[in-house]
Amino acid sequence: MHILALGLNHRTAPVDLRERLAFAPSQVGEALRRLMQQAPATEAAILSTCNRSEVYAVTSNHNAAVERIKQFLAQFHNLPAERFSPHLYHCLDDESVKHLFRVACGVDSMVVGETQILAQVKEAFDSARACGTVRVVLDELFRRALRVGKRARTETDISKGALSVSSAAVELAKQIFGDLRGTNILLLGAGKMSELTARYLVAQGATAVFVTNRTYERAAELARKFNGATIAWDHLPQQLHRADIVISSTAAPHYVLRHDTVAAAMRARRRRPMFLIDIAVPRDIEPSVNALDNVFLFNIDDLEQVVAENRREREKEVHKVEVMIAEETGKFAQWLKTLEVTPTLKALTQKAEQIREAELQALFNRLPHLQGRDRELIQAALKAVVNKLLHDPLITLREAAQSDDGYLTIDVMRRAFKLDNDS
Amino acid sequence: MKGHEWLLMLVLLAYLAATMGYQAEIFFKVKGGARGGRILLLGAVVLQGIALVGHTLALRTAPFANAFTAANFFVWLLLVAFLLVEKPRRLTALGAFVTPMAFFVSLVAFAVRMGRAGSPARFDSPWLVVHVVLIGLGFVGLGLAFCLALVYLTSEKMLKTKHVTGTFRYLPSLQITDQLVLQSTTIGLALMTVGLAIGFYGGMTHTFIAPWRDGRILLSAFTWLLFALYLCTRRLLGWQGSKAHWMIVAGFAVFVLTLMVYQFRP
Repeated sequence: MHILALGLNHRTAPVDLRERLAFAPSQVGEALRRLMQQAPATEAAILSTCNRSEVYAVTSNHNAAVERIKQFLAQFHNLPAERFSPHLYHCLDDESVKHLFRVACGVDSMVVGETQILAQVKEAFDSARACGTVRVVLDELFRRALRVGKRARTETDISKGALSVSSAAVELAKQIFGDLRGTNILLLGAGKMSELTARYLVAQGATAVFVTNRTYERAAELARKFNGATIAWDHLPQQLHRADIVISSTAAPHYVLRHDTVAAAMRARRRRPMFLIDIAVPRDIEPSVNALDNVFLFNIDDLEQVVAENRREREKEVHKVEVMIAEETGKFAQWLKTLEVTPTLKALTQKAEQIREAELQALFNRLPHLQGRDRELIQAALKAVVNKLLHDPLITLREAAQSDDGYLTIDVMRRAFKLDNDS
Repeated sequence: MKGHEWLLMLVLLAYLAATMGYQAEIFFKVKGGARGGRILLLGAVVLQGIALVGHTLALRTAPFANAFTAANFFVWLLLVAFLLVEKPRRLTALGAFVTPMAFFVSLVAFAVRMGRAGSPARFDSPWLVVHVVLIGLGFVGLGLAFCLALVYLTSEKMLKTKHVTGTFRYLPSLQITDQLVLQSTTIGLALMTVGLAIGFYGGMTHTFIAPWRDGRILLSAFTWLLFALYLCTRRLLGWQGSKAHWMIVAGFAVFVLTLMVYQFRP
């Protein structure tokens, strides 16, 4: 029995090919049914995201399985296999396990540590379970992948820190204000970037949005999008104190907000914190504003530096996650060994022997007058009962070893006799 | 050393280890450091409580009857207060500031030890007990405010210099920290005000000495004035931000150092 992983991702295939080989959620069920018919596999699952399309299968003939899965992909997506074959990768057994664990942890993602992939792995698992194409091995593999994915995110900082300028601004705002509910945003200028950042902030609970722009119509249009209000450009100095967060992105060739204006606004707002995000080039806000007490100014370079630093921090965490993955891969390999026939035969006979010994001892304790010949006869009778009872299960196990899906029988036996609980 | 002093020595070592645990997690990103520190801190607080009860029973006097036990009692109250607020308010980062202070105060107290820390004071009047306990609790509030102000200043410095990764992520938000500083100061100052009022009343009407002849009361009054100034400037002038928090840090640090020099002078 082998675990096979086959597919392509953002590193091996261009986007036009990835989109051709992607499975829409509504297609996965049908795809799995056809895959099970075509490929020599006892279990299968399909993981399809915008960055990867992967098939996981349990098979006894991996060479044939690789070829059949390629054929399946070609037929299902109506694309000649030669078009995508050079972009495919495949791995076997421990490597497949390790690969899925890396995927679930976000180590294999385009954006290291992204959290969405864990939900996508769960979705793939749920779809395969709904179709009945995951049984013992893939069931356990996906459960463990989800577990290690969660572990990586709680025990390391691989998913910490924003990786876009807008989300970095939101994180900083949260670090200053805690809860963004009740905070007021002022948009200086009507740029796309400031609009996007404002959207993020509003999504996090920021309540009021004020917009000011040299062209009143553009300000009014943007304010309408946020259900906000406009402030006349000339009234900016008098109204600035109302803003907790200012996002500036005008095309002005000079500073729009000067030190004195912000200082006056801070006095008017009794020095409550103010977060200024200057994403304009050339800059809109005089840099010396940052020296004012409780004023925090971040320009586009500062935010990009935060993003770069976050990315570096995540990269540093990858090593810790790889150690975790190696450990979990080892544990999975140990579990997989229990599905082999020899250890199961041994465990079953050992358990029967232990029960026989214990019962015999209890009987002799209760009947101390039994001696010599009597004891031998009872021992022989009990042994014969155990052997006869075990005869059929042992034969079934040996036969299972010869078939492709024999591990399923072994798994049933291990559960029926509770062999894993005793080991 | 007596039994309870051995226990306090053990507690001191636990505080050192807890300090290292919290600081390892907050400043060096060692996962589990704070958890280990918390467990040690819990154990140490229980042991210190036992030691203080042991001492009280052995000497038949209050656990704040001399400088050594008073310092230990203050540390014990401070850490109990911290452990009570740490989880509900998500203030793990505060541990990296509270534990070193607890260790430092315990260490200085231990260094001069009982023999040189003055003979136990007599608490003839119940008013005096109430007075000392209330002032002690007030200091706990102000001690927490001091540590929270340090958290605030660290966070503020990181924001100003744009070093907003690593340790920064463990710190609570500025607004929340600011509110907690205000709450701790208000509670601490209220307790201290009542304590001082009782002290003055007791000094004037009962057997214990006149307030202006007791250096500790004068020092407490000075601290009270400093923190009252913080509250006034905040309420009346709207002072927030680094200046206000520096006032708390400097005020409390000067107070602690002066008190230690006064209490443990040769």
